[in-house]
Amino acid sequence: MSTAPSYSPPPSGAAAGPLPAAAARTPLRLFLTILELAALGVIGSGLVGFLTAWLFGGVGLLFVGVGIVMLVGLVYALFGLGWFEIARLNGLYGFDLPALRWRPRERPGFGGWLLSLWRQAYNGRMWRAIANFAIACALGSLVLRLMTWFGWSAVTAFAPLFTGGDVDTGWGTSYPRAWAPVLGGAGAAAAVVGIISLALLHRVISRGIVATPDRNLDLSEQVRTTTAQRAGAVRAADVERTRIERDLHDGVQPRLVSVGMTLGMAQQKIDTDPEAAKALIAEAHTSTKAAITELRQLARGIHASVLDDRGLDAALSALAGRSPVPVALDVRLDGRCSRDAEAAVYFAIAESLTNAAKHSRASECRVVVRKRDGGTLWARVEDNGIGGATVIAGGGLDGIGNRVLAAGGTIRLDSPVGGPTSLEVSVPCAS
Amino acid sequence: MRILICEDSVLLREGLVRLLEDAGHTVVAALPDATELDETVDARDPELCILDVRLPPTFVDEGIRAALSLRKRLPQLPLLVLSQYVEERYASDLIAAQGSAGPLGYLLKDRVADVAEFIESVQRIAAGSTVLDPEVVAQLLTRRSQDDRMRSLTDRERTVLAMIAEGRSNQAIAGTLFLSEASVEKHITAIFQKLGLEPDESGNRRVLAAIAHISSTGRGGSPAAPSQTGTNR
Repeated sequence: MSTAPSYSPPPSGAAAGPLPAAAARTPLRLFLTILELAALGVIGSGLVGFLTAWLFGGVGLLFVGVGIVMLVGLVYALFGLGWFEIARLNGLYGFDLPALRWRPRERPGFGGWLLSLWRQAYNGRMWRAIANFAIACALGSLVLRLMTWFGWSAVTAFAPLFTGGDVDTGWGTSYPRAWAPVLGGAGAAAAVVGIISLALLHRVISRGIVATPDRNLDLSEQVRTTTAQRAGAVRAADVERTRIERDLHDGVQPRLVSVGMTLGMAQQKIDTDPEAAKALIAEAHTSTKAAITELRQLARGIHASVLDDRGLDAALSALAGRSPVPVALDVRLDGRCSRDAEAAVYFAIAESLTNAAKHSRASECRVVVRKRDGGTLWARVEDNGIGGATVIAGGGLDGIGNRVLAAGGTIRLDSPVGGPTSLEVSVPCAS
Repeated sequence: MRILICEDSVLLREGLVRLLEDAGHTVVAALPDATELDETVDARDPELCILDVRLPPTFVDEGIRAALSLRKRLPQLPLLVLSQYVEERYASDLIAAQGSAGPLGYLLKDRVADVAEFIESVQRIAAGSTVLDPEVVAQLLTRRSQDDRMRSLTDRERTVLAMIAEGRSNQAIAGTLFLSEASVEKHITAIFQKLGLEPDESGNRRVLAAIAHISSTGRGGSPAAPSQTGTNR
């Protein structure tokens, strides 16, 4: 199965890469824009008028009771319109904006529904999409006018063919026949330029209104993310402590108790049966060394000191060297990142490699680490194993998920049954 | 002696088997968890059961629950519970189920390192004594230290009470504290009087009375009204 834990905040609106800009320049895109604007010009004024009538009708009939139903319906209609507008812009310009989503219900039941409805009614993003739609409709009607003008100009340009004498402008004046082709050509050209300008203007306006990240939305999104981060950090610490306690109690302590027991038996036998005592002491010795190794590994699981001293690259080399599954390491980093960022990425990779060795039956792993533009530390771990990894609450993957989240990063696990498994982590370098 | 072991750590399980067999006992069964405990006890008829507190699947208190259910079913079967750390609540639960006065031990796992002492504890429990880890007793006493009647004890009397709760004989207490047995007897009489317990109890019953008293004021045969101070937390 494929699991993508929803740790990632939605991509920010202004994520328009080089692709849309290039696409907008293509004549086809321009042509489509003009067609859409014309279509909006035809239906737009009617639609906007209809919605306005709906609003006033709803408010007017509020006291009769029907009004409230109408207003509720209006919110849904407006939401639909906003959703359509954003989808339209994405389709047209490849803005890659997140689709408009209904405000999540924070409380169950009817009250929760009403609250979400109210929140949706003043949702800024929806209203800006609607504003953009209205502007597009206005631009569309201008485009329609210009198209008509183009038609008249074209007709005027060929006026000498079907009129004798001066050409009537329609405003009670006239001009000589010879001017007609020039004036008509200039008018048609001006109309074409006007239409193209309007189409380009539409893109600029849309980008300005809808594709700019909403500050308020960003803030509330940030608040939510921060809260989730804090909860994640607390949980990560909790899961980590439980794990350490388990490891100590189930790994090291029994071993030390067993050493104590063996030595205690040796002590009892040392006079009566020195040979047996010797064997017991040798056993305790071996067991002590194993306990030391276990402790060292446990300590490294808590904190990798090489990470602090030498940085991620060196720590990953050590990690890859210890992995039972062969690891192809591809690290390209210049400079260090914050301790939290490095630790989050390091432990995410360590957990992935541990899982690969324990569960995936993979024969090799590949680890890629990069520092990306904008100061993001990015890593990807892939194996060629059987997949099927899931996030279990309190498990290792949950722990690193929370840790990455706490560092302000995102994590994505893709592990269909049958494999392969890949884990992608990106963490802000300065977190 | 026929002993049954229930311990999840292979290392400790095998160590215990070797240790006990070395001391001349027979380990009739060594189980990694408590799922087949009842059947095994019925089939092998052990004279003592050693249980780990933390057992699969949840590693919380399966061992305690198994011990409690065994106690209910076979009240006279001696039980020794081994714990990784002192959990006074677990000990209290076990002691509270102690109405029928079956022999009980509650020891920290570390105690197995002192082989001779551990074997001796095992034998004492099998013989019908109750043996609590000194740390458990210390915790129980600390929790009861606000009790008025506990406060009326002198330091020396408190030490003696702790040693009674650990299951030591008058002779052993006298030896450890460098006292004559007669003065130990005098302390014990004073303790029992102050706590409102029957003074003529002896052996395991005496230990139980003391433990029951310190682990829960108002139980332990005291007809006096339960003290209101610091008994409930």
